[in-house]
Amino acid sequence: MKITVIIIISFLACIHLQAQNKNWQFQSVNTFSHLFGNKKNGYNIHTVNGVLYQQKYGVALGAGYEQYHYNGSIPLFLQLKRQFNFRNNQHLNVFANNGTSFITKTPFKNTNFSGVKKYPSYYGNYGISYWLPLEKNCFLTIGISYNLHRFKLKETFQWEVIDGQKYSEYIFQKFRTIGLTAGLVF
Amino acid sequence: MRYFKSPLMLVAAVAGLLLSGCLKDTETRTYTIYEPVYSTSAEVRANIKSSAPKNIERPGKIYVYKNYLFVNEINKGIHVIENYDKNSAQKIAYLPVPGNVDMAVVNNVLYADSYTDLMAIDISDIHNIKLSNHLSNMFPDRYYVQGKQADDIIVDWKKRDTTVNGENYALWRAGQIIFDAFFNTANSTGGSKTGTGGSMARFTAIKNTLYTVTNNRLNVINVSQPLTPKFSNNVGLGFGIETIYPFKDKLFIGSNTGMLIYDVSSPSAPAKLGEFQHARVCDPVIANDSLAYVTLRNGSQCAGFINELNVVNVTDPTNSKLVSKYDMTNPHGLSQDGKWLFVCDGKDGLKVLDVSNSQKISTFKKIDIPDAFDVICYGKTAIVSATSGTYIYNYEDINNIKFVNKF
Repeated sequence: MKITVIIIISFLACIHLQAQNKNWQFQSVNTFSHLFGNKKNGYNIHTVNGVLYQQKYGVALGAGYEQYHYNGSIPLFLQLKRQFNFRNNQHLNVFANNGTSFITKTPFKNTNFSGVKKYPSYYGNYGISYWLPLEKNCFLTIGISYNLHRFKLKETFQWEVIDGQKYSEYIFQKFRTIGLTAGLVF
Repeated sequence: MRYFKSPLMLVAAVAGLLLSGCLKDTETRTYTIYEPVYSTSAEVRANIKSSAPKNIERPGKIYVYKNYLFVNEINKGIHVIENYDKNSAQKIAYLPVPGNVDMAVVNNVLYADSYTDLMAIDISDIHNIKLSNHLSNMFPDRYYVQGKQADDIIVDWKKRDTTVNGENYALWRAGQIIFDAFFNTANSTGGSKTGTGGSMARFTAIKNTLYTVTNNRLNVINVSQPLTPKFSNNVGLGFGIETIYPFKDKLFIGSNTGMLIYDVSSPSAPAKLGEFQHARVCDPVIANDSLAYVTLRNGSQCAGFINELNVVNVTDPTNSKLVSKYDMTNPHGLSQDGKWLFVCDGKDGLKVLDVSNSQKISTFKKIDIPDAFDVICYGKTAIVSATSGTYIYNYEDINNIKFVNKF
């Protein structure tokens, strides 16, 4: 986790320096999404910071928090995007976020009789967003995205099966949602 | 909306929301089913003889006899180690005994359980160990409803991973071959003709009598003719029996609700002298003339919420009294040598306690052996059984306990 934070800080420092170059532009996208899934709702909050090259191609690192169904998690991801520019400083972005996610809240808990190991999970988020200018370098963004979360946990019970091996099972959860997003871009 | 000239977003949003009804969340669980591999009783008994030494994979109970250390490979067999306390130590044989968890030695005969049966194994020639005799159905609670059929014995398990839909969680768990290793146990002590076992033992020997405990009874087996053991009788003990420990002509029996004291001055007719009751937990026990040391621990099989050492005055066995308590982490087996009490304390490893003042017990030393569960002190050597192996320590100089071997 510490290494991840250091990488993010280093990356942001680099892109601020790069932003001095006209070809590169720093962007910070901060959004809230309401998630619609199979009979359940949830939300996520993302902050995605990165650079845009020649007003077209973007790369960024993102982090946030997501709550869906009974899981809470912190996704960390890399964003690749293509920006299309329109009149009146409006933009359409098509993006793909891929990364990992750390479970922070789950119904599977450590008890006197069982222990739960949480594995880093796969996180994917693909969508489009539309940016409407509020000021020169400030936009309102609205969008829609498809989210895929694959969680993995291992629950080990204190009681033993044969050969003295403790009983354990792997739990795989695959959650798919559509997110409606709103936020601000700086 | 003045700025929002593209209808694309609106179309995408509506389409996306409509599509959300098609999304499906899934939750699956993957676990392992163990399928038994059977052999006939005759095949199993024919195989109980010296075979080439093997690596110790899952050590269980330990037992010392002469210069030999016997280490149980849980539910599979027994390793034989020669000169275990010296640099020249070596594994000299492996005995395949399916279903074995406990053992004791009397007069060069190794008594070992094999699921429901008691095996009498001749070890007079340690390099040519062979099965001599057996007693059937001595441990009926080791009969696995789904594990043994007619004359077949489980000799191994095949693993098979299975994935089920999480929604059927409650259904699949009900029907699998999953059983508790409720029966972890074994060993003994006694006079010069017997060896020494640990405090987690369910077998013990005094002179020419072998005592074994099941979950609810004490079996008395006459071994005056060592190669032909004879079942004498059994004594009902109540449920939750865990361990047995001999001292002189008494048996100290640990149950999950207390410690029972039996007089065996008449070997074939154990008579109950008294009982010391405690909360429902697991409790190996050892004793001397005046005091018994009982470790109480919680855990899945033990229930309860107590982890402590109890010192009990047993000078009058009919009226045992608690002398003192000492907080511990998750105590298991223990062994005493004079004022030093060695206690396996879960993740805290092996602790050496100074019990010279039973009212003021203190931890003298800690040895880092995670998940140590039983210990035997024998001739200034501490033999420790842990999930990671069997460790030998020399404590001639208690201030400088030396690691000797690991098997």
